[in-house]
Amino acid sequence: MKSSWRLAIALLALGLLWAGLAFNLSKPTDAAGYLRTALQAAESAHDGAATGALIGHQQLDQQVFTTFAVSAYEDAGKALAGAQKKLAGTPPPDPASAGLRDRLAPLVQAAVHDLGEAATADGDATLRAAVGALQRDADQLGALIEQHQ
Amino acid sequence: MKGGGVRRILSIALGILTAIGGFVDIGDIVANGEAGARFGIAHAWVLLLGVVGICVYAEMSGRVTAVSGRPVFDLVRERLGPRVALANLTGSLLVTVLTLGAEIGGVGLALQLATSVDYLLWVPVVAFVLWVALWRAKFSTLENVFGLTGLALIVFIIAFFRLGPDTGELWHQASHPGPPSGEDWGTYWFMAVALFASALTPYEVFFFSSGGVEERWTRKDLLTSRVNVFVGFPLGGLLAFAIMLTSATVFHPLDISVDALSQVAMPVALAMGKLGLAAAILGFFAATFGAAMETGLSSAYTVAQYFGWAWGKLRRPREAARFHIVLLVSILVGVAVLMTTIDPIQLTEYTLVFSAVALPLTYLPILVVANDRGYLGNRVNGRLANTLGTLYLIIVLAAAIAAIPLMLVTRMGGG
Repeated sequence: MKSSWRLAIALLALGLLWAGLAFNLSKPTDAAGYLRTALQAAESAHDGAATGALIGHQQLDQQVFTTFAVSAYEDAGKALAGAQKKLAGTPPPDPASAGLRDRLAPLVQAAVHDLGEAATADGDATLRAAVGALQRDADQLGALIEQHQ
Repeated sequence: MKGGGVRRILSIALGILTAIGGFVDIGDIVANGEAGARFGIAHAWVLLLGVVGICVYAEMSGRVTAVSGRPVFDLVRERLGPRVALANLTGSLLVTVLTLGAEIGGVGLALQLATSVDYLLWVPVVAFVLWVALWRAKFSTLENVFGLTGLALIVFIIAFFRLGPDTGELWHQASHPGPPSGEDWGTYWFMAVALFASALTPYEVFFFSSGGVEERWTRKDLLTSRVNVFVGFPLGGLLAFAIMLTSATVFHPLDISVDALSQVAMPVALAMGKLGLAAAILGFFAATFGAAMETGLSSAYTVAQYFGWAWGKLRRPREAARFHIVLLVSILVGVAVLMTTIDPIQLTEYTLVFSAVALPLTYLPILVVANDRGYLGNRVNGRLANTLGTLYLIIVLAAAIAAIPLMLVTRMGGG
């Protein structure tokens, strides 16, 4: 086969792949797609909240040093920010999906708030309260995930 | 004679220790932590498979080097011609430079855990120190310092026992491989491919072989090479398994996914407090910095060996200028990738997938060269080495074919 033919076939294959990816990325989300995205966001938020609670416990038990705790809270915060971004970036396609978003969004928001409280707590009592709240957030998010899986 | 014997034993012991510490890199840390959290130890068999695989091919590489006095890549080009060697070079170099970026990012993340200064601010500093170390320091010094410091990761083994694990449950996970509830077979196999690739990363064999030349291995060093491979790598694999075990013990029951280096260290803090945590962070630092050196050198080794340039740390930099330029450029490319602000953990995950795709390009030529009597005389592969080598080539090929479709179908393992 001539090399120009090979090049043309390779370019055509690349073009088709590109078009396929573009179509896949730009098509509107259906209910099943939204559920998958929402569950991923919920899982990220659950991971962030539960990890935040774990760091808080470790801080209360004097098991970690401050520099580590700061970085670990930051990582947990990234998981929560990722969840918020995912949720905000996908519009719900139908009322049922909107209902799911209305249940999930406040939970994620609460987890973001409580993680902030834990990361900036200036005493054991405040930290303990924030850890308790984070644990509750994680439990509620876990229950929501289980319900929709 | 007696003194020489003791020195030899010490050299073998040191080789083993550095192999243990040097086996674990950012890919192993991330993949094992993540797998343990999401799947328990249902992937223990993959780790075992990967360790046996790297032993099979590292033994071949070490033997080729010790007998011929030349690195594997040099022989691949000579034996299979420039076109096949170029395919090998392209695949392994791309993966190795990306891995170098991931390792530099890993060092930055380890420093962030110790200082709370953002890893991106550490990246240029780490890259500069890495370049200076590779420019100025002796090969053996670098290998020994970072290999031995990497042994700090032993805290993961101690932490596992102190966590009071549910051994019955862990045994159940290991003996019933498969996805737990909430996961599917796609994500299970995606993680399996990533773990397998993390154990068989291409740079490991090229570095091992070129390192043998740097240390002037001869036929007499075959024993050293084999002991390093068959004791050092499995014990290194044990450290990786300990990371999986601690993650499975702490995070899996809580349904928490691990996608940050700080999370991987948490079980150690839980079991051993601040001292254990400090050791874990030191271990992360040493393992990733050591791997950054290995990947940096490996990039320069393969390019220089392909083009027939003078190479190696035994020569003065002036005598191997092109080798050092490739080294510097590889470090700069790694830094540039990180400066796009891609998360180093994500970069590691992508690197593992690409590594899986490039594996056959690395391992088939090694198998061919290890069977060439022109280079190895009567030291060519025996029946066992060839059977295992061929079997692993089939597995490696299957992993390479499955890697990209699994990545797309599972959305990078997200499900």
